Amino acid sequence: MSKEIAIVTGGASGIGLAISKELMNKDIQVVAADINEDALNEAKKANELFDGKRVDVTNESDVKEFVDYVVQKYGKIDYSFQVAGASKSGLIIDQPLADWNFTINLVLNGVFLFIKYVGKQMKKQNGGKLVNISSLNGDVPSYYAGAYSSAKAAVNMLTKNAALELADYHVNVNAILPGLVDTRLTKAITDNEELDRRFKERIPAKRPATPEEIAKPAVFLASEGASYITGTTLVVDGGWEITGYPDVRM
Amino acid sequence: MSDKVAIVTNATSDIGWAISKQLMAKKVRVIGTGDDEAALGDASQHYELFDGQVVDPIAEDAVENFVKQATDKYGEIDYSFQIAVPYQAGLIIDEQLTDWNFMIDLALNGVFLFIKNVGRQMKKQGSGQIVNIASMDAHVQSYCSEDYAAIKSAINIFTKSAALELAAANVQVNSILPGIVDSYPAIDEHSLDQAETLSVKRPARPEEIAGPAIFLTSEAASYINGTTLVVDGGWEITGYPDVRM
Ligand SMILES: NC(=O)c1ccc[n+]([C@@H]2O[C@H](COP(=O)([O-])OP(=O)(O)OC[C@H]3O[C@@H](n4cnc5c(N)ncnc54)[C@H](O)[C@@H]3O)[C@@H](O)[C@H]2O)c1
Repeated sequence: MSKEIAIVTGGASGIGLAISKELMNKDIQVVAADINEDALNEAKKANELFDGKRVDVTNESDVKEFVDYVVQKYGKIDYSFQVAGASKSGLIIDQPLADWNFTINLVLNGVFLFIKYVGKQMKKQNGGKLVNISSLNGDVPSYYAGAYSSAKAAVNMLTKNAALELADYHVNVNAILPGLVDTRLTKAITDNEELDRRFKERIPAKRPATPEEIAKPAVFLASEGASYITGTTLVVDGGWEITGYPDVRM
Repeated sequence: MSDKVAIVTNATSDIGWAISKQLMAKKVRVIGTGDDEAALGDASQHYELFDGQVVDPIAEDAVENFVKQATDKYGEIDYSFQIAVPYQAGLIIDEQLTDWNFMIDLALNGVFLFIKNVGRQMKKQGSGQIVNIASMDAHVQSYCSEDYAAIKSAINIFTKSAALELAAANVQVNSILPGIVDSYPAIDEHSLDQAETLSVKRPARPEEIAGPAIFLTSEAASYINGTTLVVDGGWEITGYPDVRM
């Protein structure tokens, strides 16, 4: 059997790196697209199943070249995980348009470009699985996250729309909505003792997720066991959504 | 051998049996309930890991005794799968109150009584995973299934309430929302026509519902609590409710 091939955007750090490791444990070849070259090189050294290229997910020619590279070198794409993300936070009435644009561009357009080019390839193959790492904020707003929440909500809808369009070609498209995850992205929260306490207090699990606790459900959605799951979102938040948390202020 | 123990209600229904088989394949002991004495007896005879018995899901004493006896016999209850199956089609303006009540009793009150008693035991243990099989109708209403849809949305929110209440005891409660399953009680030529409107153009095999349900009780799902997973082959996103019977 030929080796299975997975793309992971943002694969050099946090949740993306955890997904990459989970896949490599299953002997799947990972090709990561990330803007952080040093982290890519480190991951390459650690595992020979890890290949990666410097890609800015918001740059269409970068994305197109990257997908061409993967198909040329490995012949196909079985899975693609859209994970890369970051945001510029701020209250809506104070947010500079440039910060809003940065967030929408990275969170939403980065996912669109990958679905567009990988989807084209998967249509040709007549099969494939796409998993987007969205956020609980796609369902629930939170202070300072107007741009991020709006972009994630759009990612949720884009997930469903892509599932609708690609179902004819046996491509499943789903999204994971993580709550608070212990990564670089949330250090500003977890490093602040008072803030950390107030966040954890509101989460029924009383702790953030480890990146692996997000990676495993994401990989499940791409597995044979999830063959009938498409066009949906899976919340992985330690029960946070059901507490109605958005009234936590910083 | 794993010494894990699972309760599966309606264990000899198609989804219930698919879940039971997958659990037994993982060496989990299954205590199955239902109303089909012959089928339960047959399964108990053929599968060493299956222990089936008739339990009236809406008789409080019966459910309480059942959970107590299961705990006495096997030590603890690790997983519990609530599968309520009745389905009846009809229009609201024509429905008899007795039919409505029958549905609420069997499908909703049964789930309440099981979670109440299993939840108590799991709280005592300080661990456990509960999965309810609701329906995609919890999210989208369709013609002629108003009581079904109402009950399934109630189960959906009840799942979240139970998760909130039991999280501190390290108990997870989630639900699966299946679309059309090819064993569906209401399956007939018409529902197969409906399958044409599904994104994937076919009903699910019961195993395709069982796999995700068991995933929600696995170690890989340790941070998933109080949520619902739609397993519908992309049906919800097609906006199907305007299909009339
Ligand atoms: N950490 C959380 O609490 C949390 C919660 C919900 C959702 N998420 C989402 O999970 C995803 C991963 O976040 P993480 O927590 O692992 O953060 P992370 O910072 O550890 O990882 C993000 C990765 O994306 C890469 N990246 C950023 N901009 C890029 C660009 N323009 N092009 C290519 N790569 C780029 C970064 O280099 C980094 O490797 C994000 O989409 C984030 O929104 C995180």
